[in-house]
Amino acid sequence: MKEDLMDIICCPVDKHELELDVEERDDEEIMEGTLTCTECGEVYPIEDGIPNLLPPDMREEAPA
Amino acid sequence: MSTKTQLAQQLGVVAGFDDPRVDLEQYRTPPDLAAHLVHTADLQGDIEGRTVVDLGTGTGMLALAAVLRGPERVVGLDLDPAPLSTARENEGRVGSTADVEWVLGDATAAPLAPDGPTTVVMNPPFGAQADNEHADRAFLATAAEIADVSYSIHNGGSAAFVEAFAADEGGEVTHAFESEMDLPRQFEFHDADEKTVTVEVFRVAWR
Repeated sequence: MKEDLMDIICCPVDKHELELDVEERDDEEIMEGTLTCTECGEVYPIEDGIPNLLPPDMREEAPA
Repeated sequence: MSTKTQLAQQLGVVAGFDDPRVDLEQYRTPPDLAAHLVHTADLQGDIEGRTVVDLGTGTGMLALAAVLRGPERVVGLDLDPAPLSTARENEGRVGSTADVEWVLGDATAAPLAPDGPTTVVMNPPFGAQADNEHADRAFLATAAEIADVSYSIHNGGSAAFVEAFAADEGGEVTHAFESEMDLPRQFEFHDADEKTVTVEVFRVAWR
């Protein structure tokens, strides 16, 4: 994902803003990191450049 | 602007599902239909310079059609990671100059709050399977929440339902057109490899 995606994504549970922590970049692309809800504190991973913003109960079911 | 036919040709390289899930009604949106939908939207001024969101993008067909027409940004959202990987590969194949942002998420609990002019494009599950009747309703509810305008593909005979839903949300169906589409046989039928069905596309102005 690119950083300007932050303008339009939000927490799927309560629709509040997210805080970005970058662990790995490839040019402009954020490859690994986390998105943390500024309201409920839920942490969403960014894996292989794709933010996983599934609601927490659905994330557990996703295949690895 | 490329013609509708040129757009459909560009989309011919978009790969479908390696392992389609019947419960999610996964099948590739035909390139002709995607081109028709996005070309129509473009002529209405609903693509250029806007945020375009493809809800339930699958392998990215509608998102990639949109990105070829000069939007501000395109987001493709799907809850199934495998097709999203294919979508990203498809993005390389169509050779667009702009990027699509792929997001893993549930279209019915969408992690999106765009604040600028926003168009939703989608080919949601029709709810043809017994346990997800009117799955398209939840997708429309998300469109009502995040978009000014949406284009959605439904099975034939959906006009009354879509019009009533839009009216309840303060919106209005402004355009509708019919098309035909071949559905793979795992949906509904068992006696033929595929079946041609009538589908309807609706433009809804939500606000």
